[in-house]
Amino acid sequence: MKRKLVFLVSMLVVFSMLFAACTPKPAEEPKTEAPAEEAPAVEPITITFWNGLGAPENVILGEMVNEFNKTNTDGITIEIIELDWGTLYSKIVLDFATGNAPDITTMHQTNLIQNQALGILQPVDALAKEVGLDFNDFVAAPLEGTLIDGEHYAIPLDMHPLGLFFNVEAFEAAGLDPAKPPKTGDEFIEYAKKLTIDEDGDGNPEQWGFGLGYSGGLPFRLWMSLLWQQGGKVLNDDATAAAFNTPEGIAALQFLHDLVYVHKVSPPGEQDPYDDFGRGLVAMLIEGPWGMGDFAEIEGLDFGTAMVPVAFDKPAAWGNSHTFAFPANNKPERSLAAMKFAKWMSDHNFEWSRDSGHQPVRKSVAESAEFKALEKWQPFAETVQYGYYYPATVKTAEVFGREPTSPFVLMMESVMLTENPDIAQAIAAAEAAVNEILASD
Amino acid sequence: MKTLKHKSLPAYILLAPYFLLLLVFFLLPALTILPMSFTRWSLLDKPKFIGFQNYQKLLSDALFWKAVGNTFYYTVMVTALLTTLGLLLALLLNQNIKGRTLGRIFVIIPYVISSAAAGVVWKWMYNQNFGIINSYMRALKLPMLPFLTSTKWAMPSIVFMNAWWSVGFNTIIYLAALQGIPQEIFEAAEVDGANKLQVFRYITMPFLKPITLYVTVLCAANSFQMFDEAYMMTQGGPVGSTATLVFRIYNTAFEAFKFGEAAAISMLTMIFIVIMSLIQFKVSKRGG
Repeated sequence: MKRKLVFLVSMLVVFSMLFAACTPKPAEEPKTEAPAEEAPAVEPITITFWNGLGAPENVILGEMVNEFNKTNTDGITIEIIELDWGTLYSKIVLDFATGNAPDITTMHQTNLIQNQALGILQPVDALAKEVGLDFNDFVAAPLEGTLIDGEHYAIPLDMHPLGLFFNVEAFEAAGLDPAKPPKTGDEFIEYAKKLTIDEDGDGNPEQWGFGLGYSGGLPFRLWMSLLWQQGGKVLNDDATAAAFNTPEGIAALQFLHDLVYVHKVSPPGEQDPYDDFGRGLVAMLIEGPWGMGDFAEIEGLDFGTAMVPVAFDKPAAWGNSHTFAFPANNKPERSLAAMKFAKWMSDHNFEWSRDSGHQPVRKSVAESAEFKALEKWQPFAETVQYGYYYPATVKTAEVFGREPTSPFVLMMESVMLTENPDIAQAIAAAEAAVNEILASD
Repeated sequence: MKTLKHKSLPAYILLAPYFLLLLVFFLLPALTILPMSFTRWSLLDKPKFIGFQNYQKLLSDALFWKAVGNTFYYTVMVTALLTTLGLLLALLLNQNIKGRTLGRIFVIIPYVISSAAAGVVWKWMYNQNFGIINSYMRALKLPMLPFLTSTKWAMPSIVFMNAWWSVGFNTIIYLAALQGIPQEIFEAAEVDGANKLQVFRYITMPFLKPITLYVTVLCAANSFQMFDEAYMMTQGGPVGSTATLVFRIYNTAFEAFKFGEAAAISMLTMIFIVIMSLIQFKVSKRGG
């Protein structure tokens, strides 16, 4: 009898736990009654928004979303889901396939074409018109980048070309003038040598001139910038084959390799140049403007910015643009609410640029006196005209991936981690890998 | 018969939720892998049957074989290290020594940390230029090592981190097994005049055999599926030297969206694990 009781009780516990887990949450209680009284016609709507931007920009974006949620009169609540870029780009395919795509998502301009080809995105012209977003006020390059087959597939948010960050204190300590950052490749090497300081003479400098790293996106984006500085190309004109296995491609690799192993101004096998610059371990860094927010927060770090030095024939630097894209969900009222949020963000393009470090995409902001007063933003603003994007291909994620299995990362790693690398072989391997990806269906 | 049924009913009911979840979230999806591996499928289009093409492509793919090599290298090193180290630590902690309880706690503590967190911490410690290990090496005038940044060192570095992280698990299992050996046998051996080595060889070892099989099979199958450590610490690099089979499955499926090919790698990985476990069972049987 007692046993039976124990059994019954344990069953009860198990099932109550099961049911507790399975019971659907009660439908959202209408807590929003207060605003509903002011505008009784408005039906509250909650929009899912995926954000791939990492720290510190995601904090700023979060604050702006809160502001929008509080101030908009359309009853729209934006619910942010934070993802890193790699996860976002794979998750959007998975979730779209299962009908769970978000109403709006951040996306790099160069990834639009791939996601459009997969059928994930919807054109935005009609929606933009409906909320009164004026495409005439957008800077040409980022807007044109959202055009696919004559239709716009996203709303540009910002631009982010590479620029040179330098540590002002380190410059002064080395007798360099922070008002005159290096402009050419030779100047850059000369500066970097002066900034590489090995006080105890043990062969391991305490401060290095330049943070480059060997893996991830940064090294190969810099390599591409140097390729473009020589008029070289990454892919052929119709993006069907690699076009970088040239003397220019090799010269660009050699330049970066020499910084580490010949001039010895950048640490070999550096894992995190971005962090190292923030900690004062390297005195110069070439990065996107997203560094601005982070570096400004670091106490005791006084930094300046400049354009990427021209090591070859003409100025060129890698760049990209963040956009808002709208997965095709056949729910016009949700897409419209999402577009209202995108318009609000676009109308606050100055605040976004100021707080995130990125370049504005609205002409009225880019030309405004209040933006021109942001001194550290100007070298990036000047770079925008020389900014080169990844060539458009529906294989963006695979060709230009930042993962160590991606062709360009493998190429940089095999060159940057060895003192005497076979550069010709490394670039040929990358060429073969890119061609294989482009040829596959 | 009736009573038997009646008695086992509660057990079935209690097990049912587990098996239901296993069926829905593990077994059924796992079974779809086989047909999927004969298709070309990007998830958004219709799967297209292509026969053995995925397998043919893989078998002639240098990167796939590199991943196979990396995986076996890692598995053999981790299994050997974890089994020996686990046994040694267990023998040590089974002695009547001071600080035994503290030692037992310390051995198991790292295992409580998630492998991802452990990976991040070790990534910092391993940093070639500014990491804590190399700053000690430097202070001792030893050469600084490129732990995670050379193709030669990256995998051993991950193996070492994994040994630190998970040796406690094997230690605890061995410890439990050691304490399960009846004390009288040891006493009898002592009376018969056996020395310590003989006691270990003829009493401890045979008693630990089933547990050793369990530990090595589990350890090998687990490390064959290593992913999080490499994902957190090296992302499969440098130059693909820590990209394992599971890493390739992930890349192929979720970065290149080739679900058919990823399914084929999964099938081959499973076949490798089955063969490996069968060999382990065979070897242990012959030994007994």
